[in-house]
Amino acid sequence: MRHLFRAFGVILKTEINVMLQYRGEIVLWSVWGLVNPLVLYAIFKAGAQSNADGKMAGLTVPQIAAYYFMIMIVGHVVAAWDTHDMGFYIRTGRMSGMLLKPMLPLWKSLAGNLAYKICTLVFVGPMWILVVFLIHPQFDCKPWQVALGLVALVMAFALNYCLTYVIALVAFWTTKLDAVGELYFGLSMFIGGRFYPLDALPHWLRIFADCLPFQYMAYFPAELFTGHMTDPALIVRAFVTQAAWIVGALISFRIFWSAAVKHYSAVSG
Amino acid sequence: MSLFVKVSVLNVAAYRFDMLIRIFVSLMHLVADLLGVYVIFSNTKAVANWRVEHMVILVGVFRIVAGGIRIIIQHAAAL
Repeated sequence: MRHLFRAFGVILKTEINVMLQYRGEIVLWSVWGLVNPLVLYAIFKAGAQSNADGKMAGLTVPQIAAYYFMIMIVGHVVAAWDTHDMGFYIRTGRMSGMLLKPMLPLWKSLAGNLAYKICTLVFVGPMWILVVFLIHPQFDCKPWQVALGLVALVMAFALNYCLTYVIALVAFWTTKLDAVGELYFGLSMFIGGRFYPLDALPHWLRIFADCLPFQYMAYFPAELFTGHMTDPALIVRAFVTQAAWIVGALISFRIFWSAAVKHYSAVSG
Repeated sequence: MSLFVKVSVLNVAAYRFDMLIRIFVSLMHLVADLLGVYVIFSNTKAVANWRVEHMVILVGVFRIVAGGIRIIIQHAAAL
């Protein structure tokens, strides 16, 4: 395990250096991470201002601001894109080289993911501060909710990363997987709470969302940070469900990785 | 332009599984757009004086333009 951590540290350093070569791209991705929640905030704010009670989905304008501000941060932290990368690695033959190394390719991908977040933090950090001054969010959270929110955030990243990687393994059979990645991303946006607070969804869609893991990747941590989630029983149930999905994703990875490597045949390179 | 369309179709059809899922995803995009409009307008009557009819037209125009870009330019340019 010690060797793994040491090797991971070296890979992380390498990935950060690779990432810093493309500073313009980092800025563009950082801006994209801000634009989406801000546009949705503007729509919800305009909708709330059109209602007589000044609320939309039970939220006042400052509460809407807090929600989308937290979605902005949570969305950045939990982002994972292996469904797009895996197909590329297989089609270009790069996976062959990765499989020859004494570490699972997952660790390199994880290092790349963390490197992106570390590098983009330099850009998005000041932008987040600027956004706070522009939209004036109202946080109703207590310290215990912030503490639990941090735990939920780490678990949300683990869940999204593991699940994305498991789905990405389908590329070992299909070679290209971009459309599946789009489907996964679309679902995580729509019923994960990144487009709208889940309370805004119609009842039948909310039931559908409750059956899937996406709300534990964004909505749940965001609700804790904004202080909208206060019921202890609901919070415990959400943590247990989140943990269960992570365990399920890890077990699926063990099973599918073994099958994927056995099935693998190089395409190019 | 027809050559661009032909190349785009061939490029997408080269990966059949991805193409089938992409057809489904394209339909889902449209459904999600309309569902998004429904979600907004089930919580309010107007968005900055825009009513649901205006928003549906906006979604339609966006889908036509985005679809055109995808068919004619995006996949051919990705080669």
